[in-house]
Amino acid sequence: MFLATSDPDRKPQGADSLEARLAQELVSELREGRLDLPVLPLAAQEVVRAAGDPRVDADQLAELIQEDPSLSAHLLRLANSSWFRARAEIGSLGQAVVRMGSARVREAALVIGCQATVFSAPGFESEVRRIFRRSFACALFSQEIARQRRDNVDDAFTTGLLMDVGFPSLLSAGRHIGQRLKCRNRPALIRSAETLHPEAAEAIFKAWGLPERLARVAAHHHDVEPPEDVSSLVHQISLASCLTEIVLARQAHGQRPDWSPAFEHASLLPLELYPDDVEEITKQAARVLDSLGGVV
Amino acid sequence: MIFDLLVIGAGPGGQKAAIQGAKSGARVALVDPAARGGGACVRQGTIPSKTLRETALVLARAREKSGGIAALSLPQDLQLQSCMLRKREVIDAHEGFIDAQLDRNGVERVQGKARLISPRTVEVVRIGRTSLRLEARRIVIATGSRPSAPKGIELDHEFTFDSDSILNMGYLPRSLVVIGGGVIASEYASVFAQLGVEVTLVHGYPGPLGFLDPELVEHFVEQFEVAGGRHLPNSRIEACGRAGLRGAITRLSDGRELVSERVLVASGRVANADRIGLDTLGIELSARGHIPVDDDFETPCPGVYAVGDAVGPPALASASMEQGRRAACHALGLVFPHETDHIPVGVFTIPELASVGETEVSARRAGVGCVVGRAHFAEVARSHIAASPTGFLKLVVARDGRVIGVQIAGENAAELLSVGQLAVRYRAQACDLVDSVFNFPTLAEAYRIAGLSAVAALESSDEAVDATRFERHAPPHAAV
Repeated sequence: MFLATSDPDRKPQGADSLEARLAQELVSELREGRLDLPVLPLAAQEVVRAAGDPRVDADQLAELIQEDPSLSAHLLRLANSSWFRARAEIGSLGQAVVRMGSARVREAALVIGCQATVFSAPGFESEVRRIFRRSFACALFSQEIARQRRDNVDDAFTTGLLMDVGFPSLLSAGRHIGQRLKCRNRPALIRSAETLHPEAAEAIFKAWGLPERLARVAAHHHDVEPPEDVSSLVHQISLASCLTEIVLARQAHGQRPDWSPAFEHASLLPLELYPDDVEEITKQAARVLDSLGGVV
Repeated sequence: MIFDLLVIGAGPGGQKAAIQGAKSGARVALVDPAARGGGACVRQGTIPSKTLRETALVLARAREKSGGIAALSLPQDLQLQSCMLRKREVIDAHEGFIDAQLDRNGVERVQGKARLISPRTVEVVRIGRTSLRLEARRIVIATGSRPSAPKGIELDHEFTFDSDSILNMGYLPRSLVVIGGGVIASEYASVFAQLGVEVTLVHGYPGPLGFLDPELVEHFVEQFEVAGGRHLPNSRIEACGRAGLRGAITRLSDGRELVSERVLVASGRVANADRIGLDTLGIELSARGHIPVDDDFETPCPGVYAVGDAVGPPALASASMEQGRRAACHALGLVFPHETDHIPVGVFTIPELASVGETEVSARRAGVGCVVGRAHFAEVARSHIAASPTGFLKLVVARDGRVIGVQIAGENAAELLSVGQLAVRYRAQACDLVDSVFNFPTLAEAYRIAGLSAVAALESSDEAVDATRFERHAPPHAAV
């Protein structure tokens, strides 16, 4: 959501240039299904699956997490962050699993897994780190908006986190194409990845077996007028992105956030959110920042 | 510009007030936070929950009608939205109809949150921080209500839901604790039980739906338990919140703990009357947070009216509509054309429950001598065809033979009640129902059976009645 898009079918300027060829080959890789889609690390996949399986109990889930020291450490850190709103320090994985509940463990495994491998593109580390940080904040704000609107908080989190999941894959693929074509135009590659990332995200959602409706959200998350059936989730993400930009800008400059853009955001009308509702959501900013600290 | 009537809230009470006003030739404005009409009733309450109920009913009927051949159950990881695929269509259709009606009648729509500045002025805060002021000669408040959570209950809308968020739950849970003994709690409890969820209905009263005839309530509880539900009356809730790996825990004051995947807290609603500036008009809310009104729905502040859930019970959409019409008429100096004593009650549990007029208990409490005529659906061919032979119809008949109340439990009870509602309203005699020829096979035949039963009861009654009026009728068993 933090990435710009333009019409992917539009012929790039200077179509014969190397940049245009790079863009065209990237489009072909994606549309012909040749793009290497990312997978969650095995441990995270297992935890996501087990957290959704009613036959798996807390001890089994904790045991599973324990098998991956990095996952365990991250999960404990998250369990003690504001995200989970723990009242007292959580010292063991078993305690963390029971106190967080399966839905939160699933979300945490998804976040940690994404950070480890999915949001990764050699040569573009700083860009991807920035995108991941924003995606996590967007997921948290998205969840708060959903809570305010009495909407589904799980869907809000998943879509908020994974909207830009296609971007790193496109960068990685584009880098290989660029090397082959001897095209080293980094901005051009980033522009192409930005243009195609909703389509790539849709492909990843489908490959991961996420609900079709969420894949449609991924595909349309930059649309000004999204399809009716996914409209509210798309607008929710759009507003969450705006809140994320504000809160991260504030953090970067050490200033008080200027929430004005959020109060004038175009998605407020379709979401029917009023100034008092937006105020309630902005009250969660400190918690979002603290939760970010627990991960990135 | 000054409006003749300004209505705050586009739910059932507000829309009808606005339309009544406009039909009378008044210039009417209708202010609501939502772009489309209908209020919470259409978006979060009555209408969406009924689409889930339809799915539950289809399943229940399919199980019954297949005679057990089809082992119908839902997959464990079923998304709840899959059970409500028609929800959007139903809401769109209803909102579209309401909008068209408002437009056709020339009601001016203003989207925003209203706040009273004076008895004639309302400030409307719009999305995007702009605001405007509207002037009106009369104001009707129809702001509805919202779910309330009792102390000790933490709602996160992930594990613990209220009635506004429950339909946005991701997956159909395996178990659900429903806290509350009112209409919303009972409806959801019975619907989720029919969908195969292990439901526990828990509340602090001796029984749910305390305002209904005890026989209807008994039938509901019995059928709820047949569907696999567990009923825990007289249980005070101490606390409720998320606990354990995949669920929530509800602690009762007697020490019992109920562990479930999800909890629905439906133990009450609070009027949306606290944020609209009533204090500036000197209107004090009642102890239960409702706006005080007189018989014409006028508040202590002359020219300002309130209707619907904001003024308290019965908090039914049908009652709110009627209150809205009545308030608008009084506000515009018109005579309200008809009586509103016989508002029907429909409870869309499975089985459905419906009531109009007096119950046996209320009649006797009021000192009105009465008899009861009963028809069990097992005696009606239609109910067997529909594979739904449980349920009954009760006629409450005064000693002079007049039908003064009807109660029904079972399939299509709320629809079936309409015949009885007219009988009560037009003071029909029990023998009028006996004289009527109903379509065969229909559930309406139950009226004739119950009428015969009432006539027999009157004839065998010890108290003196004008027996001649019943002479032409044979005893019920012979007639059926």
